[in-house]
Amino acid sequence: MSEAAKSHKKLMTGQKKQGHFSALNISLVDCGDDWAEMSLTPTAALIGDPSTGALHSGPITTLLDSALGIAASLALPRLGFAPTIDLRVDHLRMANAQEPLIARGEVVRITRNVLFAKGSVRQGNIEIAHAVGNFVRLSDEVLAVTEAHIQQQLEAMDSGVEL
Amino acid sequence: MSLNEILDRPLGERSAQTILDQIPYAVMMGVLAEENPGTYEPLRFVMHASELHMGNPTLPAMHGGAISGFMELASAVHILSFMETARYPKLIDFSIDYLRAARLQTVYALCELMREGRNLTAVQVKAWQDNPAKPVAIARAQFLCADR
Repeated sequence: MSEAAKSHKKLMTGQKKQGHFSALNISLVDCGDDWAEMSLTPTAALIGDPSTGALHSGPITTLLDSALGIAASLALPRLGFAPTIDLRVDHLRMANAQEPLIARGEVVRITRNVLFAKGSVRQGNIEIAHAVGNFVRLSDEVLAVTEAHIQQQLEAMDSGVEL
Repeated sequence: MSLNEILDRPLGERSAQTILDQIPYAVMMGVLAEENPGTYEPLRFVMHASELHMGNPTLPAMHGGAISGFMELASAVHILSFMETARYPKLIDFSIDYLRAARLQTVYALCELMREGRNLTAVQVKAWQDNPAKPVAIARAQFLCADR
């Protein structure tokens, strides 16, 4: 695993979860140089249709956006992030609100300006949804700034400072 | 009253907000409907920003998934507000374009039914924050609207 992937993993797993990741119980499971696996542990609050108990599509989209987006940011030459340009999700089956969902996102191709990614979500052994998404490859100047910022956060984590 | 009991009523007797109130994910996200009965104002959906919608904590922006989830809810409840379908529509596929960074502030959405079929229904959605002419995202969805 590259240094960048190690740093991302440390940042994602070492910090207290906040915001939408915390609201949806989304965590990074594992990652590599151009891929990421993320999990979502459902709660009753994520149900879309109470008459069937099915999970809403929104959390599935969010999980895929996160897995593909983190895979894209891992594929960057410097520490940073890659904003989503667009995302298309096919919902192959209904997901239940009991078992955890696992999404895997991977980068298919990197160009000067765009990262192309794809991925899917499983619940147990069953594929629930698949997606393709494209992400912005920010300029090296912008990535130099994000890298400095992330380095700062990592150093703060090492010294035990709460940010 | 349960969601199905609301959906068993005729169109004129259900409101978008009473439907949203029965969807746990909509309640968690804080999605509201602005209805203007008796006017020509279109049905508009609103989501007031809170910490729970935040994406990357290094910049105070809304998670793209929160915007997408909001637009998915808006398009489904829009269908239930204008079509005599008696069950929550099943999303077949959803495609979203993010046009601008969304800040951690109120988002609005308007939907348009592009096709109302016996089985398939297509919806377009636009979401914006300050200025409707500068959307933060546009999306399209295909739903299966079987009655039972």
